[in-house]
Amino acid sequence: MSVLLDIQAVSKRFHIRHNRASELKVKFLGMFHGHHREVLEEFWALRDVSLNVRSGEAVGVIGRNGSGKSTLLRLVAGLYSPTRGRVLVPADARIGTMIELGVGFHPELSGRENVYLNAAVNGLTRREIGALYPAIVEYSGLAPFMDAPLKSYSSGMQMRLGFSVAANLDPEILLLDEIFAVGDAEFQRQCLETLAALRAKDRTIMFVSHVPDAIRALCDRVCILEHGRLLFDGAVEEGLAFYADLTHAEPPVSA
Amino acid sequence: MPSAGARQLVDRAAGRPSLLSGLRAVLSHRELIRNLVLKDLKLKYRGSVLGFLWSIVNPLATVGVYTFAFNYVLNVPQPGFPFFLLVGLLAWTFFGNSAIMSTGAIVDNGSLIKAVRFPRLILPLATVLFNLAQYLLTIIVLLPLMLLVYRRPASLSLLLFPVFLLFQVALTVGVALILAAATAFFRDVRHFLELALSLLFWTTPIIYTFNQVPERLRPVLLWSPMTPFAVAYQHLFFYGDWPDAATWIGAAAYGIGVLLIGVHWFLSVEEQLLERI
Repeated sequence: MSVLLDIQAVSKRFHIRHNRASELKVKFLGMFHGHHREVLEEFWALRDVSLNVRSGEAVGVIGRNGSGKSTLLRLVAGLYSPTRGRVLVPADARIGTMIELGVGFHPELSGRENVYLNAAVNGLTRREIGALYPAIVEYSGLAPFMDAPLKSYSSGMQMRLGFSVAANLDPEILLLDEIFAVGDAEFQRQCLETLAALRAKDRTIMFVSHVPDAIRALCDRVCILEHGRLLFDGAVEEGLAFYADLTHAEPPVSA
Repeated sequence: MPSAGARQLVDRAAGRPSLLSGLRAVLSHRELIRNLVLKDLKLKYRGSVLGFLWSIVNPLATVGVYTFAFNYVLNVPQPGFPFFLLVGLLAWTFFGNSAIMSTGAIVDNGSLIKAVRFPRLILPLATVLFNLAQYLLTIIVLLPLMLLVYRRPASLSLLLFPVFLLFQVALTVGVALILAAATAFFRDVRHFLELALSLLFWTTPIIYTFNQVPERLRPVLLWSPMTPFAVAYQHLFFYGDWPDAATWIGAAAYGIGVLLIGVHWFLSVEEQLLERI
């Protein structure tokens, strides 16, 4: 299987602004007084991370809060560009992101209108959306509510609608960010089933999660990030044990 | 789909964004643009009883107020003043509302920008197209009405309207791109804009005619980017004759010039927008 994602020695630096330069005042006063000048603190979210993902692989990325998981996912999604290094992706592949569900949803629009908008945000044409629409509605189980405005949905229903769109886009490379942190047990089960179905179709998946069981069920490889560095890249059980040691927690018990 | 052999991989961050890449990005995201414009139109008119009628009533009310103030209070009568005023006012409203809305095009769409990769250029562009749609709808209703009420025959020069409109859209998109990105860096842009717009409004011949302005003050008006457009539309619609060469040159120069500057600057800071909102 060929390499689909080639992450080469990537580092990402952010600037934390203590004295927000969004205010013209700061820029203006800074010209006269040093202590008014914008204070920038450097923060390296990723340091020298190299990683290859092959076609059809499902890679789990774990790490503590602030370890750089989400930054890595956003770099692959093309939302950030790396400060150093390169991220190589196929020129023609559709990269799907489930970084946030229901992106662009608007409470005043109906469920149906939001599906079309959300799918368009993800790069689908009207014809493609039309073809997928019945499947999306069926999958969400919200058929009776599609003409009601989204503001009348419960937050669980909104999430289900968002996930239904994302699940039916069927991208070649799927980037997932901790969607299991939200939703009830039923929703989480549905998510896992969908992802397993995508796995069966040989889709390539990069999956950020804290849930060991989800990683076990879905991934055939685990990467562990700590303070922006890649500490481990290898088999799932070995990786989960490594992570358990790292966090000084009890080894996670499989249900 | 199992791929046979090595796929060609690319570095998306490589290669500087250019005018051409911007144009290509916009064309390949037509569907998203269409959806964003439709969303704004639906949101604007949904749940309001009079709906689209508000877009007709508002300019007419403004025209009524100004006509009262100038024709009757200040006693500067001018034949057909409401018609004359309306022509400039509608074009100005398109420009002004686009500018105001565009300041939120990036900073108010944080969740979209943080989650999905797409050319950010699309957001201010959709804002302008939404306002353009409203402008066209109002003008389609009000223009024939005015021609009828003031018994003016539609002249052949009306055919030039799309050309000037195209230049105005170019100018407005350029301004919207600059304001949308600038607001991400400095939130003060919104306050500054209020002041700038009122200065521009009063230095554009909308309420008065260009010829009423003393000779020595006219250069000031020419620096106001909406002047050639207001003058052009007044000629096409109200006087029913052809705009002069200076008006043509002004409209083309502002339209193309500001668009180029806007696109170029926006693309050069596009990468930084995500970290600024």
